[in-house]
Amino acid sequence: MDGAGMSRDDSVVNLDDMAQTTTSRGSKGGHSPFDRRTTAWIPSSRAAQVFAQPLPAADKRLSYTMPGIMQEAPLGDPVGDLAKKHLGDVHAAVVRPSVERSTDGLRRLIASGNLRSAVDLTGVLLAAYNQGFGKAHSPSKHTVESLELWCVRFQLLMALKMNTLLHSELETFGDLEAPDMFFQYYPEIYPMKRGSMVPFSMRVIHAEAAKFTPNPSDALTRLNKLIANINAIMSNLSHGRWEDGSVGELSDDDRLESEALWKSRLNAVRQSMARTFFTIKEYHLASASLAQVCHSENCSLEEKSRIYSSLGRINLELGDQQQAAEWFQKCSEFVDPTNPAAKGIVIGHKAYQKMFYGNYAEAYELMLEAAAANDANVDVSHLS
Amino acid sequence: MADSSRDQLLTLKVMRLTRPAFAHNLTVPIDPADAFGAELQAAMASATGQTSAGDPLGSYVVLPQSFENIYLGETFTFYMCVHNDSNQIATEVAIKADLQTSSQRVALPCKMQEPVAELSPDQALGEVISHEIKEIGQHILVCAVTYNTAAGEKMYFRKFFKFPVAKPLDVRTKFYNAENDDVYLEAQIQNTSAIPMVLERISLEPSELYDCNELNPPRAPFSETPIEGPSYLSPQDTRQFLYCLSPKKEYTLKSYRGVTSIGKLDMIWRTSMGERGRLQTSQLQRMAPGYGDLRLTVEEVPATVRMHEMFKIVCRLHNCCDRALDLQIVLDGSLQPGLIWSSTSGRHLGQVPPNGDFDVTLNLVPVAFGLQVISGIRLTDTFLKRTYEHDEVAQVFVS
Repeated sequence: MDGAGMSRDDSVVNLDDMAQTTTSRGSKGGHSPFDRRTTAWIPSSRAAQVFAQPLPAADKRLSYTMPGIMQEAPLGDPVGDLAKKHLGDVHAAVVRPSVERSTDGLRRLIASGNLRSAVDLTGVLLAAYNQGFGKAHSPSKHTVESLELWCVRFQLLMALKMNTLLHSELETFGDLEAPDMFFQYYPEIYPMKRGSMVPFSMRVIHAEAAKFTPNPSDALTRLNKLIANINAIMSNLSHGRWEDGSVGELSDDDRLESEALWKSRLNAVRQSMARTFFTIKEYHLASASLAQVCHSENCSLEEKSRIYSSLGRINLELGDQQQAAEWFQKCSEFVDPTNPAAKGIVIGHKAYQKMFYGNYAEAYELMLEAAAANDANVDVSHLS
Repeated sequence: MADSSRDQLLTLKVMRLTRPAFAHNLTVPIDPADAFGAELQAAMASATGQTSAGDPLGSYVVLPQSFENIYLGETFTFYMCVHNDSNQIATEVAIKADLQTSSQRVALPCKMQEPVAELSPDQALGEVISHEIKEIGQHILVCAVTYNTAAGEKMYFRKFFKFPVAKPLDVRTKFYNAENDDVYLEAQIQNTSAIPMVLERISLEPSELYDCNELNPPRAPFSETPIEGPSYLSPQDTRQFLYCLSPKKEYTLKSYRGVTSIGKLDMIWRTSMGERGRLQTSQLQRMAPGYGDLRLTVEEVPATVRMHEMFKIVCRLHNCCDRALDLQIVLDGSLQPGLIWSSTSGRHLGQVPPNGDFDVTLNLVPVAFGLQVISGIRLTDTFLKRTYEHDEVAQVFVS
């Protein structure tokens, strides 16, 4: 059965091969300044204590983080099944691609929008690291590549809104600060390298995913911890030290690039906070978080106009047209005039406000104008 | 009329028209340093049409997906459509719509009431109807369709749509009586609906006895990071409004005795994407504080006085009843050890007509320091031999 779109050859996946393969994200295990910047992380006190002692031999080392995928059955193809049901086999409406079982194959599945197949493939690839179905709570080794696989899996699960599965698989990772999540724990594989093997996206997902649990404020606690750590990193940089506080060679360019990187990561976390506030219906606080992002010095004009537009829409959804109008006004100040879609966005805002007051006919006229201005983003059909 | 359980040629569909809502985006946190993040975002965009994985609300506007709650004071708008599913022509098609509540049945005005329409196979006829919701509780929308088949047979069927109407606001009022006959009204408005709302305008329409002065702060000017709380009212939150009502000069104090009507609260609010609602309270009633037959107010009194220095107070006596009072004043010093009356006690003041005023000046000498209370004024109406006692009428600070 080809439903999941995977290749029929069962090539055995070699763990060493995987450790050496350049993944889609570049070799994080390297020592370039880029690697140092992106993987820097200040270890938790618990991890730091372990690193202060000499580590035991590789085979005698403890395994702290013991993840495993929690769903064996493939996710299936609901759209394809539905198409088959209504359109019949003759039309073969939905064609799923065949890809090889590797990270490149994974990337192709995602690029072509086959997100469910991609999740299934991550499960297969993780099984090669001994972290497949049923392997939760049993010891396994972690590498940069295995953690990147987990990160992709979590991103896909979140995009597919499979929050229960996401939450149960995240649980075994604890707070992502266990000693075996750091390069320092594997000196024989990554000699002289310090930092966290956990991809930054995974940290943010780990924090934001908590908003779907019965205790959504956990998400806020975790996000605040992230912000605190990022602030500590930026403080180290401003004092001429490396991100994790150690003293080393740090050229001015390097430092500036690092500061820019961490500032943009801070904004990503703030937007995560805004989304969390939105989920728990604290719209006022969501607005405040987003406004913080707009005021930060490295926020691009495009980003600002996108956020101001978003804030306007949130306020219309609440019923506050006055506030929304102010946000839309700010958005038009930052919209890029060379962007042909920009005119459409501004007209779209006017159309939303017409709809607010029930002037559907005028809103429709404005929508047509927006479509003519080469903007395909705004689309509505209404009966009255 | 044919048996309505026979196969019908026409079908009726009803759809409630609320404001469209913004689509909720799929969101995934993206690390700006991660090139793969952009690829993932692009993949999600191709699947859903959204432009960014970061915004919680998309730029698409969608039609209502399910029947949302409807509240008292909102307008119920719906689209009623009848479609010819068969391959016959249906003639004399008429649709009637009624809205039934526990207390009454209202016929909704509908253009398709007259049996003049004709529907060919696969043709449809529809109309948008609006009605302001004025009651809470279960509402039933009854749509009745009558038509003739090609053979001339009269056909008839009905469809029922039940929906509950809840209260969106809870209003509590408190009255505060000021010394100068003004009444302050505090209105506490609580959002009892399930969604946040914006109170667009809360105003008090005073009755003819009062002038109203609204004492609410104006809306703060726009700021990206406002210091005050949100402009919207979350579910279960309460907001307070204050109004000052002054009695109009042309009415005498007598009109304000007992129970009087203060006015009506008019509330306009908006919820998602501008869904509007409006409610008015019934006339708010206030029980005036009883003054009895004779009311004493202190018109002039110094705030601070010096020890052993005489000071004076001016009292206004107002006759609240319908008959003339013949007054005699007696000053009793036993209740105020710190002050000594220095005016003649037992004096006859004269007659006060109904609703009339009489000013009397009294002198006092303080003999103790601190805050002293003036008491002990006894007024006797010689006509009916009735005594009115006035204690704790004012305070002075003796230094």
